[in-house]
Amino acid sequence: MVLDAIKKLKLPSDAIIQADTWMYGADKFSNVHTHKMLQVLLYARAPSNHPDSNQYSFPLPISPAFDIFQDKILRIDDLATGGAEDGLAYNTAGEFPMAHCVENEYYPTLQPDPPRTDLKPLHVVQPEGPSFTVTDGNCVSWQKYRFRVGFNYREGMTVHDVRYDGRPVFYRLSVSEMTVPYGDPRSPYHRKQAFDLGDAGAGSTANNLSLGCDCLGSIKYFSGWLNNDKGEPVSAENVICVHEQDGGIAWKHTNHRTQNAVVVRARNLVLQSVLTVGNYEYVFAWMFMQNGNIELETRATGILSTQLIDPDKQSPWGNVVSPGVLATNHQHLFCLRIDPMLDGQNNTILYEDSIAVPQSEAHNPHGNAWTIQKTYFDKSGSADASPFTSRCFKMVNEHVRNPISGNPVGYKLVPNPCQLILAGPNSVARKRARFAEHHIWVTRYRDGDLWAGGKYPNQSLVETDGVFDYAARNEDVRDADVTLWHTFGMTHNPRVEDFPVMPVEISTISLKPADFFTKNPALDVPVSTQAFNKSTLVEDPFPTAAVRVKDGEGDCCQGEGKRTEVATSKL
Amino acid sequence: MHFNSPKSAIVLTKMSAQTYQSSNIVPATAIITARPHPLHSINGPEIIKASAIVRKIVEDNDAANGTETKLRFKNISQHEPPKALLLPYLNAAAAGVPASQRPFVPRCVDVVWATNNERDVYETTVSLDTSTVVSQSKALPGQHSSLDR
Repeated sequence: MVLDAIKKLKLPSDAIIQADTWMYGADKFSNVHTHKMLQVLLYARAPSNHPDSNQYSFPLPISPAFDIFQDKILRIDDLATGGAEDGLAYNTAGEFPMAHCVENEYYPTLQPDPPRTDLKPLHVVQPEGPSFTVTDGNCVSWQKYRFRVGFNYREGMTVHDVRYDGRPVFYRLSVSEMTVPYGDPRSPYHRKQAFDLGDAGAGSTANNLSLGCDCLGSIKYFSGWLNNDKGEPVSAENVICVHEQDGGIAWKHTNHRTQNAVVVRARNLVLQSVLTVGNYEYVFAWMFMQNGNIELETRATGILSTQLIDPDKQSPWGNVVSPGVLATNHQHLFCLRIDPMLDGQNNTILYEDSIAVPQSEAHNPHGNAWTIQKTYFDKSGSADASPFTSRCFKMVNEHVRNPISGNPVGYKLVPNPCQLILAGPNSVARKRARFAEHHIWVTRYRDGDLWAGGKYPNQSLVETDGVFDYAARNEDVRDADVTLWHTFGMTHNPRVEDFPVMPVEISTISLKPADFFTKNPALDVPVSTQAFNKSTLVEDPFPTAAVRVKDGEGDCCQGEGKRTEVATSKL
Repeated sequence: MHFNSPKSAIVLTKMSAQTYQSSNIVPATAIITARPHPLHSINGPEIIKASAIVRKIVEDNDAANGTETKLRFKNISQHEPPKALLLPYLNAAAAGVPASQRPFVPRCVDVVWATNNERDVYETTVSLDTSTVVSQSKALPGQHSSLDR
């Protein structure tokens, strides 16, 4: 059946077709009796036939629907390839639907142009080794932090029992689920919605990092265990790496009277894992900082999911990134699960908005003042980011006061104010991913409440026992064992630069101490010195032009005012 | 979604990187008599033990009913210990209490398995301490397991 359908595309007779097996998704025609299926997206290898050629440059306009229960192909779906002028129509292609596709390679040996030759080496050397220690297999100690690293098939990397200087901070940190809904309304594209953790598994798809995380410096790897369908263990080698990174200037002050400058460089600890879900890659990195910040950095990279488009057409549903290749618009929405234990198990969540005080003689005679309005979560529920009120969410311990400010000790989170799920309120896509309807969820801790999108998201009709249901229990969360969830991400309308492989798109979520400490916790980091850092000055002769700068003369750095003249040369 | 197992490294630029020996989240040198830390992820022998318990359930059921069930394991992972038991353990460890004196934390495994071409999906939680089933539930119609790795 499939071979006959492929023949109709009049591809070269020796073309090799490769299949990406996608989750089938769900729509208004699905019900509880719908079989477990796969929607198979087909791509052709480039004429070079190299196994690493970019198949996504050659998307086929047909897709078999495979029934797993019956172990057979049910039908072959035609995929629409029209442009804006074709609306929702099918079969708009000519006799050779893919003839206009061309090779568009990311693999180095397949690229037409050689790599750049002007990049000099950058080495990170830690002559005394790294500053972290790992004991008892998975206990990491670094710069007053101590935590445990976990790994499972679904979340991949997890962080447990984070303590700073012995103080309990976070019981558990993880990315709980993610959804990637696509925006093309033409069937079967409307069902394209990946739940990469629950449908596939961040651990199951985790990369072996010794084969490419290329972290600089002294690296340690963690390995974990997965299983095969016989129940036998399968080793997941080097799925998490840990290493230090320089983080630039951490803090600095120059006393303008004495001209004494004090500068400290930040050293960060990075715990990283990378997953490959078919075409896409996601890099997750937990960054621990000496200033008390714990940050999750997410990078999306890899290859866009593509579909065929007729020559010389454009589509409102995506962007043409290569001849005949439409990269469909989609969203990436992740849900971060934060289980705080700030100085103890019972915490409180609130949010703060900065609101201008109305001008009045009694309260604000010049109109410049603003106040901070606090809203406490007494019951479980949800809230959204509010960048125009500089909204931040705080996790606090109301029983422990900061001796300096008098405020309860806490950590704050400024939510990523991303666009939330675009799929409409009556769509199955939205019902399946209720976690993506709000930026923030506050729930009462319960063992097993781990999955923002529910336990069984694959082909789900509605999010079941996910964060929406946890929050809907309407439980007391004030001064209680609470869990905070943050949905963040991006609407990705692809650009041509995102192909053939996407430059990383980076999101950072920061958990920052807020009156948790009595002063800057990085104050005791030793001052940065050249003797310690061993940086070197670029000396003359230096091959690029440099001019002697003197009060406005010359082309270079004009208007910078007083400069110390070091290593300049006259043209 | 297929499992990515690159067979060769693409080395574009040689960077100097000292790499330390990879360690399993469960140390290979763990003393047999000591209980592992509850936050050690389950290891190979524990996965074998858990899947064997589930396999026996299916085999016993087949023996009783004269059936022949084809069993596929989907996901085997550690059952997170209840916080009411784990947090006191972690607090004791942080306070310097020796391992042998810390509170008992059960060690359980969640096994998701399927039969009948994925039509029937079960989640069985087994205790590694007692080699028994702690709980078992069947996915409802319309609830499907994850894709194969």
